[in-house]
Amino acid sequence: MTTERQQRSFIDPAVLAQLSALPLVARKAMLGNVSGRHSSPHRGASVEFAEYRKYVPGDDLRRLDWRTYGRSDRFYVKEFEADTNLRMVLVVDTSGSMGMPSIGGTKFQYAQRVAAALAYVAIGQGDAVGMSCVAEGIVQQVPPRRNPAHLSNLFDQLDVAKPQGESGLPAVLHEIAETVRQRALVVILSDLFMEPMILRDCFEHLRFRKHDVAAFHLLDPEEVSFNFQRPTRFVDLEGGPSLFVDPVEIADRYHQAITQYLADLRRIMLETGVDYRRVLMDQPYDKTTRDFLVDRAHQRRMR
Amino acid sequence: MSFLQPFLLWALPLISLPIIIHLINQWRYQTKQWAAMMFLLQANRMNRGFAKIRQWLILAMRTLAILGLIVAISRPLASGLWSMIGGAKSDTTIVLMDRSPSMLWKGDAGESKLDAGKRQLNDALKTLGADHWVSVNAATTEASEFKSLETLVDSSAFSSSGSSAQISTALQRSLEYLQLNKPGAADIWICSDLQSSDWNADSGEWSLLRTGFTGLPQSIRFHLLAYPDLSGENLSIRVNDAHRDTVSDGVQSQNFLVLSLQIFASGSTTQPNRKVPVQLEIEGVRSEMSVELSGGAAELREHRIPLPAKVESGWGKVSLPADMNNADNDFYFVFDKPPVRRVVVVADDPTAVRPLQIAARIASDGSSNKSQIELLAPAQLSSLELDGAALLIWQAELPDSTTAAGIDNYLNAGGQVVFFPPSSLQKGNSSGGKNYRGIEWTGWSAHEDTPMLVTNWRGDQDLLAATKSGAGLPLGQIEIRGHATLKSDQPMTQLATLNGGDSLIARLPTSKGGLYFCTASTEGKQSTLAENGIVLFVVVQRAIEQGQAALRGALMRTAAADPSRAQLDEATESKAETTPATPSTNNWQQVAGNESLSSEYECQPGVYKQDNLMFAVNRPLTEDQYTTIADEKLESLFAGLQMDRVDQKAGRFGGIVREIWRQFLILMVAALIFEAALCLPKKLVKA
Repeated sequence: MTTERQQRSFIDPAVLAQLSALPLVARKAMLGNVSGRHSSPHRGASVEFAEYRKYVPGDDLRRLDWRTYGRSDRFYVKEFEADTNLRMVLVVDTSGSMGMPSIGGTKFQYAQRVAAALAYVAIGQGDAVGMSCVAEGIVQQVPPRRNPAHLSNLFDQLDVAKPQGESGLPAVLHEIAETVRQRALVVILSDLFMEPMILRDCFEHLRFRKHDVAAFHLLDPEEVSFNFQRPTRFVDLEGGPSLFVDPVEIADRYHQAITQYLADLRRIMLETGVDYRRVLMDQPYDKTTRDFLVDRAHQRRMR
Repeated sequence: MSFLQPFLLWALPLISLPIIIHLINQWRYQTKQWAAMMFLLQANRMNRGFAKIRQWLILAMRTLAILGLIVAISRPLASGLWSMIGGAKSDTTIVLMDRSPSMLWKGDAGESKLDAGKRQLNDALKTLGADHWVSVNAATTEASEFKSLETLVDSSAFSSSGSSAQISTALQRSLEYLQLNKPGAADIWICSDLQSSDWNADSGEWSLLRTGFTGLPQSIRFHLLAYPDLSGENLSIRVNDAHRDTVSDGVQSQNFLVLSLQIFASGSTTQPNRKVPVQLEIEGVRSEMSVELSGGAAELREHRIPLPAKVESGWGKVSLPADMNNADNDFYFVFDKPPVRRVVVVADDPTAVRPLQIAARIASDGSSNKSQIELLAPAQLSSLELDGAALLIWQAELPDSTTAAGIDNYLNAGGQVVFFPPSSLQKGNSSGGKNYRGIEWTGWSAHEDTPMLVTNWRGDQDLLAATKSGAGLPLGQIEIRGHATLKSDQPMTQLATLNGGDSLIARLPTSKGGLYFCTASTEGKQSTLAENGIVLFVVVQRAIEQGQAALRGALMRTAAADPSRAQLDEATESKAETTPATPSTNNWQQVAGNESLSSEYECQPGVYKQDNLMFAVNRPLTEDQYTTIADEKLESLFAGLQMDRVDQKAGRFGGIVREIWRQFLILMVAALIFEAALCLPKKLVKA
């Protein structure tokens, strides 16, 4: 086992050790199977006070708050938050475009590392983690489980996944929205190179199903800056026709197009309540993951 | 386009450098695996309009910049002679300047065509340069070599003259020079106002010239700088006749100068009717009179000006006020006592020519100025002296070759000759095949019983013209009882014909003088010419008048160089800086006229004296008739030769050739600036 783990290029034990100290927090109430560290939509027996409710016949008399009765001469039942675990579904884009070579590896390799780190943290705190590798459809799927041995299974699946084919992410997101039980944490790792309006439907669907959606938008710095000087033949990684252009000639229009796209995407992400994280590939993955976890923890504290 | 450094044009392929660099750049493309194809495709779709052609514009600007640089350093020339120079510097430049009086016509700015031509040629040739400079004097057709352009322009070949230009002869001289000296590529520059008389376009010389120039091994280019425009109004004056006359009333005699002159108006704007002041200068004494100009011309006939009693001969000048061409405002003349009426009669039968002697002896004006008649028999021809004779009457066998040569000279000097049939012809003898200028007597036709009448005659001109009052000569009353028949291998002008169609009086056209043949005899038995008398008298008197006019005309010469002067001498021509002239004017003395070189006297208007004979030299009549050669005709003269023409105007101060490298340098800078503007990066959109 130890030998196998060390062979996985996307796992850095030092990074995992650092991240393991951070909690993975959901922004919404989650519906888990067992007790955990996430809030549940149901009332439970945690120490965290939730609300007072008028007594109705049939309620457990042990939960009557006698102090309130003494002050108001009325019966109130004191309710507490329920703690539950969560189900995290990692949606990893394995379309051909994720195979684009970038700083320190391909986008897919970056997605592998982030997904592995998040899975490690989630399993470590008792949450269930599932995974869907998406190309034209769902290429590989691992249902959410919370036992530590499942982590190895996840890593295995990540290891064998290869970036190839066209992207069918929107359809898969719709499918996930329907198939995964409500109130799950859906983490998308993709370059999201598709029409923002198509993605909007997907995110609205996921929100409708009360999922907490986080999206890691993986971008290569060259894709943003587009500062090529020499004529270049651009080869489509998803099998489309190659394009021979003088980048100097079209740079301004390229910038115009991508700026528009990024602005639209950010707006849609805000409107649909997606935890959107634009990640440039020159940013270390551990920082990306740490920032994700820390930001969520801060948000929880603020609530 | 023409260039002073044409070899630099070999660098022209460098203009493809930007295109080659562009192609290399395209060829050195990189391959990039790319995810964000949707934006690339979108950007590519938006690449339309100006953006699409921007790169081609940049390429074009870069190409233009290199082109501008190469052209600029090749020193391009701009002018109306845009295509004239042809590129390479010529080895020899031959300049042919039309210095005829018509070239002194002024332009709007008061600069004459001659001065404008000198200036523009000087500027152009200074720019173009050459190894050898040769000038062919258009007036004298002398060819001269010069060490520098400055000495060429200052030479007499560039100064005005009073004679017509002989462009064809001067070109012949240029051809001979080229054949003799065998230089390399040559440019022949002709500067002319295209006056028809200067070009003599109908001359057979032109075809020979074309053949000659085409046959030369070296490249010959002709450049014609033409000034055909005539702006403003110009008047020219010409004296047709000037002679002294004496009128005596028995007690005292009065001396007169009898002057006949003409004034012509020409130019683009003429005032047909007005009075023109004419200044008259006789022996340095000036007076002025007015002449009425009508219909753009005026003629003063036999205007009598009193002269001092003792003055027998002298010189004078008529002048007009300054106008567009001052060269035709003066006309010199010389007057003398009327020449003696000397008539030479050669007759084999003195009785047959008796009526002619009588008709010749009496003066037409009824004065006592009787003619001197010299009667010679054919055997006395050795003593035949025709100098100073007004008329030669020949009634004998046609002259032999020796005598014919003398008669030819007499005719060329303007003499008048009338041939009558010899007596031997009436006796049935043949002429023995003797002929004069292709004309011979072939026989005698006698018709005493049925006399022939004169049916047709020319009453408009020549010897049988009607009188000044308009009355015709009574030729219809003449009866011819016998006449000789003529055989001619040349067309003759029939002045009078008999009812059978045979000619009575015919004239053989000659360049000078008058040559007449009368087929009838003046003998009483043969015709009523003597009996009628009037016709015979008028014919003889008119012939004498014409002869005397020719004698007087010897005092009025036309400015023209002696053609023998221009013959090239190989030894001197190739070595000397300027060809030493051997002018026939070396014993001429200038009496009046503008100062000029003695070698140019025969081409310069003025009054000259040679061996106590005073004569006037004036411009030819054709210089007063401003007609230019048609463009098509001009082109046909240079058919098959490399000829470029540019029309200029006197008074236009622009040069005909100037360097325009600055413009190309500016073009290059403009192209570079435009290219830089196109290459400026657009404001980047922050992604």
